[in-house]
Amino acid sequence: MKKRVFTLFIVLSMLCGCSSLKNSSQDFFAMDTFMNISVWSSSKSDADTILSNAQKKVNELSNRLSRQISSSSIAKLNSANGEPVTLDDDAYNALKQAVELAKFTNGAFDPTTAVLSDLWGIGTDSPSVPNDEQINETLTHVGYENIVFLEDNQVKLLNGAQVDLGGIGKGYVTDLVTKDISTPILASLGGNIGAYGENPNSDNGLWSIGLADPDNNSSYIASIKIKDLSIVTSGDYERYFEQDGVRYHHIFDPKTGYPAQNELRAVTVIDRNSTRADALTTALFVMGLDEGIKFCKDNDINAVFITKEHKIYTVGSINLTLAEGADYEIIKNS
Amino acid sequence: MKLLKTLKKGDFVIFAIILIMAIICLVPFISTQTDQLICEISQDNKIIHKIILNKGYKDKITIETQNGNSVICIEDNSVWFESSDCPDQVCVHTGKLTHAGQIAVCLPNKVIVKLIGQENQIDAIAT
Repeated sequence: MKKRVFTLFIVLSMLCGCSSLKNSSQDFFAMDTFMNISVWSSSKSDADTILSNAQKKVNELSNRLSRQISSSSIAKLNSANGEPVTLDDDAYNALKQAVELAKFTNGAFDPTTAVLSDLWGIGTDSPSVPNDEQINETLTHVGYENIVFLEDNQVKLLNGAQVDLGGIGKGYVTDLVTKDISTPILASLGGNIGAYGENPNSDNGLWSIGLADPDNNSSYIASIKIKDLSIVTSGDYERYFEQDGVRYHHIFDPKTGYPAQNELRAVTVIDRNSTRADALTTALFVMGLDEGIKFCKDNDINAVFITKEHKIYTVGSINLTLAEGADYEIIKNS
Repeated sequence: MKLLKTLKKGDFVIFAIILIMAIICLVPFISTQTDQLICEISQDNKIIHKIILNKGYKDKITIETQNGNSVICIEDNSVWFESSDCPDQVCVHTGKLTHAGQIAVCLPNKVIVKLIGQENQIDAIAT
């Protein structure tokens, strides 16, 4: 009898260990875009708490990093007419990283293109193509060299430059929100993906992430399986306007003042650091296909380039699977 | 046979309990599989429409918001923003949703259109 009770106890204990992870997921709006965070944990209440804290952190960071929110230190920096302004730690760290990435990409990514966004009005209800005189005048205010870091978190701007952290903001927030979470988390912040931990819904623990179809960006043309990585894409298909048959999108070439016009529709970077991936997608799009591929090879960057001719170029150790029916060709550049 | 002879009634009771517990543990993992595609439309974080899509089903839904109107079309198993009173038109540019897991969003009007179903082959789309 004692042996039977003992056996039963052991087996019941083992069965208790079979319980699945509980999920908590939330759609919300922040940073001028749509977001979803999904978290898994051993209990629903734990998952709810982790999710709630993550969402709160996104909202806090969003307010601190936005130039559109007048109380943010970034907005105060932009309206200080060249006088030094003390930034909060998050804004300071994000701006520091932005400038380092600008130097790393030789200015192809530049956090001072806000004046170009404002000039062209893309994303507003009155976008227009400015004339050369307007563009040349605006370019005198563009250049990451105009951002001067002083002591004690102080920064000043030269030559009427204006800072916009939109080019790395989502990546920076993804990094901060996911770094202290030890359970599985899938964050999609405006299409900026962070997939960390073992995916509870897959046999091999990997997350399956699709690359958006530039012609229908709710669909995907290829997918990749990852874990503990971020995937970020920049493309010409989300924010744009068309005039006289020409599409003008939001990814500006800081040297010409025009939206980058080349053979690319989208660039995707896969990196553990989402801030870096975010800036690199912009920079690589501006560089164009050939220069972008060379830059990736020289700097060990894993990237995917999607062209207007329906070709997908991969660089680095990327294993891409074409989606069923996708009219694209994959070309590998190791 | 020898083993069976050594087992007693109590052993069979334990086996039965273990089997029942195992079946109970399996229940959460058995989902009622369905091919149904459901369109869920929410505005300002509140679900306002939940529609089962079917071949032959056609509808046009106008969502009125403080910032303007969004018009959503449904035809067979496709859903899309036909028009929207928003400056950036990101929602309209998204195009047709045809598979589970796809989402189209009008940020200024806070309208989210989602397709839900069992056939999610990917976890997220990088856009």
